[in-house]
Amino acid sequence: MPKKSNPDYKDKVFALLDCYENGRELFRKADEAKTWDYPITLKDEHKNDPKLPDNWLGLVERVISIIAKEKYNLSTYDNRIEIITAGQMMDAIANIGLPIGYEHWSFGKNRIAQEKQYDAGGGMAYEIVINSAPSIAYCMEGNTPLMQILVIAHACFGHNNFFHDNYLFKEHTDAHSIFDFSLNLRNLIRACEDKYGIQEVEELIDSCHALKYHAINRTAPPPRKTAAELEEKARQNYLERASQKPTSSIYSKILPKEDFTKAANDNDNDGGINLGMEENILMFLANNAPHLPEWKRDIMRGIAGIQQYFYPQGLTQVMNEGWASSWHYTLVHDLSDLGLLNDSMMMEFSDSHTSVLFQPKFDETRTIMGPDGQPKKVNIYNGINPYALGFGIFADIKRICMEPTEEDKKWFPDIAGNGDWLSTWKFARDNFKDESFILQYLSPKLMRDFEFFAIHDDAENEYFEINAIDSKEGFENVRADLSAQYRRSDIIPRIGTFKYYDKTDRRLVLRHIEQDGKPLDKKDTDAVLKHIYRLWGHPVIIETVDEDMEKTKGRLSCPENIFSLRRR
Amino acid sequence: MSTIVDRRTESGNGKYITSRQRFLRKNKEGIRKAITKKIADSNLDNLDKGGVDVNVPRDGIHEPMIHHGQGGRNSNVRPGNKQWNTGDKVAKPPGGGGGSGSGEGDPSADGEGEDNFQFHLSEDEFLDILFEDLDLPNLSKQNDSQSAQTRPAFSAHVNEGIFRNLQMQHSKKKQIVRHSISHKKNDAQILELLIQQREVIAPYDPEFDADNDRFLVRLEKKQLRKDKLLFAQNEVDRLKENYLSVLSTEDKQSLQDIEDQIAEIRGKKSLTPKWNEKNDLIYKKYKQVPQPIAKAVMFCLMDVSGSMSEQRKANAKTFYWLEKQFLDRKYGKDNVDIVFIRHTTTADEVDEQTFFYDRKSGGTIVSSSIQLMEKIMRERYPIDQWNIYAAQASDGEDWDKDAEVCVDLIEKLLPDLQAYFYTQVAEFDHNYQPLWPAYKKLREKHPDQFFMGKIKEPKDILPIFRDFFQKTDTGATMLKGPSASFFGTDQSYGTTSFEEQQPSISTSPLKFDVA
Repeated sequence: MPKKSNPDYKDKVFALLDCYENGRELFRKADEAKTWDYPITLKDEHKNDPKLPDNWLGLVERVISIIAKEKYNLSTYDNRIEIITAGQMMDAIANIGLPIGYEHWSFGKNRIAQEKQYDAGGGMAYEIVINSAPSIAYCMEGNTPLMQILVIAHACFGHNNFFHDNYLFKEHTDAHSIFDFSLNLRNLIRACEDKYGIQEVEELIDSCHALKYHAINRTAPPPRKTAAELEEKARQNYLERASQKPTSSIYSKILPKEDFTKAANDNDNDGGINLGMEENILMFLANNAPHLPEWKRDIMRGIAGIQQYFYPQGLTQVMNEGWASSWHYTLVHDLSDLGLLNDSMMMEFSDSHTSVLFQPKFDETRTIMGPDGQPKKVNIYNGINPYALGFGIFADIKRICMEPTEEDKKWFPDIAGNGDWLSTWKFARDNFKDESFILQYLSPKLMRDFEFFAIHDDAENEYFEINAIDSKEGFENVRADLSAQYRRSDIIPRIGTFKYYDKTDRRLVLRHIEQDGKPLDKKDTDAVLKHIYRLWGHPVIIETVDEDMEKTKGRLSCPENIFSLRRR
Repeated sequence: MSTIVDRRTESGNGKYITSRQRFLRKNKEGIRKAITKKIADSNLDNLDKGGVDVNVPRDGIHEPMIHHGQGGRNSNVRPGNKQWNTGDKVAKPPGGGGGSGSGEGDPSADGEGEDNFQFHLSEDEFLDILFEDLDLPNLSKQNDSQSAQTRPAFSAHVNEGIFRNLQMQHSKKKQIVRHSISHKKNDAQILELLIQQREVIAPYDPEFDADNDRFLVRLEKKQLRKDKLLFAQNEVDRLKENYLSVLSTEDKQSLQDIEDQIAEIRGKKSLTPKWNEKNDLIYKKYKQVPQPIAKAVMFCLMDVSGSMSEQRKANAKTFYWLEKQFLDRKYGKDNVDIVFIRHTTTADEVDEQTFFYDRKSGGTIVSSSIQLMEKIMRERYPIDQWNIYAAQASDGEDWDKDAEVCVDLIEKLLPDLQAYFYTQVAEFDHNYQPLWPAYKKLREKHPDQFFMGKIKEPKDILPIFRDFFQKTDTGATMLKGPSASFFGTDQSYGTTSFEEQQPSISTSPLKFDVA
């Protein structure tokens, strides 16, 4: 049973604020002074208490923390709030949000693109938060006091709590080790650059980045081994190696022994060895490519590890942003209820909140001044805003729990009117990803509010087919389509290893399982194949097969036009 | 426990700067092109102002990912339906482009869909790349004896010196080592005495077993001297505490004797001086070494006679500007002097404005300028304090006999100069250019000090400049391989020296260029 929320949280907040001169006024005072660096002074009797925050931001964090923990029982990693400039924020974004990034030209390119966007008047992120322990939240120096409150509630309690409790993050990432991991990777890459040259390392990283969406284990890894277990495993390995005679066989380098025997027994009649569908291609190459030196394998494993760390973030964008937005909304209103914020701050909050959650219609246009000085209409629709959708669903769950309509009772019999929205929210946070979350909780009411509709585009037809939400089937189809839009395998082609031909030219055959008849983009796939070829060292082929894996629909190879092998 | 960190004051964020340099390095070719164009297009006043905009093709910096192409069955959910019902069919727009996004969240989308990626180089980056791989010939006077200045340089560690040169860490280390050695003997004695003491008391301990003495075994196992001492001391203290009262009088007496001996040695130990000033203290010693001359003067010599058109002057000016920037970077801005000498039939020293913009007409006697340069040099720039560079620009015309006079004058001056650069800024070659053949002989005689080239149009300037300052392994600069044709024929030099700068493409079969 979850702990019941503590009604004393108000007293605790006021007790904390009363340790300061004018404590209860401080939030409003900062807004009037328009600075988040507002000086705060402890009363004389608390002067020497090191546990009390000595700056305004620290105090804000502490107050919100009391509400989040005492009233709502949100557990988080410790927060580390870093105040940074716009330039540093662009650096952080360009480095794909790694706390310690390695160096590569593509990050330089990202940064230049960021800067151009910023100079062109594009918005700048208010915050970035990193899934680590302690959790780092970057806050911009230019934020107003209210924005800092919002950002701290959003990042330090919304996102941080989501990282802490969602099942995907628990299974796939280890917040405590990411600093060491990324630091080690950077040091490794720097050391290799010194030893083998920048060019060589850069080419390797290019290849790894080309495979970055194929560097993920979709099933969660087994729990981390303890030091004793690792030691025991190393001892076993050592004994095993010591007992084996040295072998010159090339196969032992390519496949672990047991895999090889298994694969050899599994021979198809064309002389290839079945490898099974291994979708983590980068890791497969790191472990099995015949000619790579060990340092290259280490870098490849490192970059694959980074991709694995980001894997849950790609799967939970709507939920993550929705969760964080719901909490900044809830927590700022709590602060307001305590009388800590004034009306102008709440007006500013509404303004920021609605602009973050703004969802333009698909054909919405806005008139702007073109470069030639003429007003010009441009389409501002840029996909579905994850903040809007996520916040909408969470708000809707709360409504269904507290004030259900007849329709809700029909669609959500298990949660409608249960009166405990907080537990329902937490259950959703813990156990879902975007795809299943939408399928589970998107209600007809919300779909009507968004005016969703689905377009089916079949390349064989001359027309688009529309699915709208005017019937039960319509609702279900649109919801399924929207859910599928967040399904990773629908976005990223499903490609895995298939065969290795040891007796001929050592070619590696990868298999692409086609979905909905969608072909691979030839130009980019060819370029990626070149990268795989460079890592593998022998011909590489991608075969496209249909969904039943029966008919081969196409093949791409590097080098181009290599012959297919004759069947024996 | 949460923390607030203000990182705004952190200077230069390393993670981004290195990545940016990598990006620039990758696009060196495009950047070089942009720089060449900028130098050819712009005039001197704004050449390094505002950096330079570079356009590189997106293809070269595209990061490929495997993703879905056009085709197949796609579905896409959008907000804002106003008119459609389930089952409605809408005609596809012609061209098949807009409709449904075949790859929403397409991992390889670069965003803007333009053909070129544009970025901006700052002034510093612009100059850095411009002068990359280049070096001045004879950067400083080789001969130490010419130098009038010296600077102190570390020579050795010694035991005497002034307090300012005291090396604290070295001294402390030495003292610790010395103490450790001097205590070794004392510690061994104390340990022996402690064992004797124990042997006196131990028989009173009921657990003591003389044949199988665990104390000695455990003592052996201790590695460090201080551990052994501590262990023995603890054992003796323990025994004393328990059995002192039951000791016989003689044993008590012998115990006391040993105790006194230990105290005596301990006293000795504490008497060891903390610092032995003669041995422990280490000072740095400096000696005066002659310092290479770090000041440079550049003489700009230009023909301003009627035949020098504005375009020719502009080309010469750009060349001078490049060289000035280069000297500034090599020697530091404050250490470079510049002297402008213009000549027709007579030469005079002028300021920059007059040099470049004041018109003067008349005939041409080149040697007059070289004579004036020699005079100024002897008067104001003593060769033991200055590195002297001379750059001459002319359209190549001269009075018949004068070319030989020039060659003689320059040859006389060359030993005192670091380098002499000659650029012929005429758009075409003709018969009245006696300077070129005369100088060619000089060039053959002094290949590492005398440099010459032809600037026919603005785009020649940078190749020639790079050619003059080509970095060589020996430190001396010479015209190499491809430039041979530069002398033999009158073909434009083109950009071959650029291609040389490109990273060589490896011949390993596993490498390739991703298009």
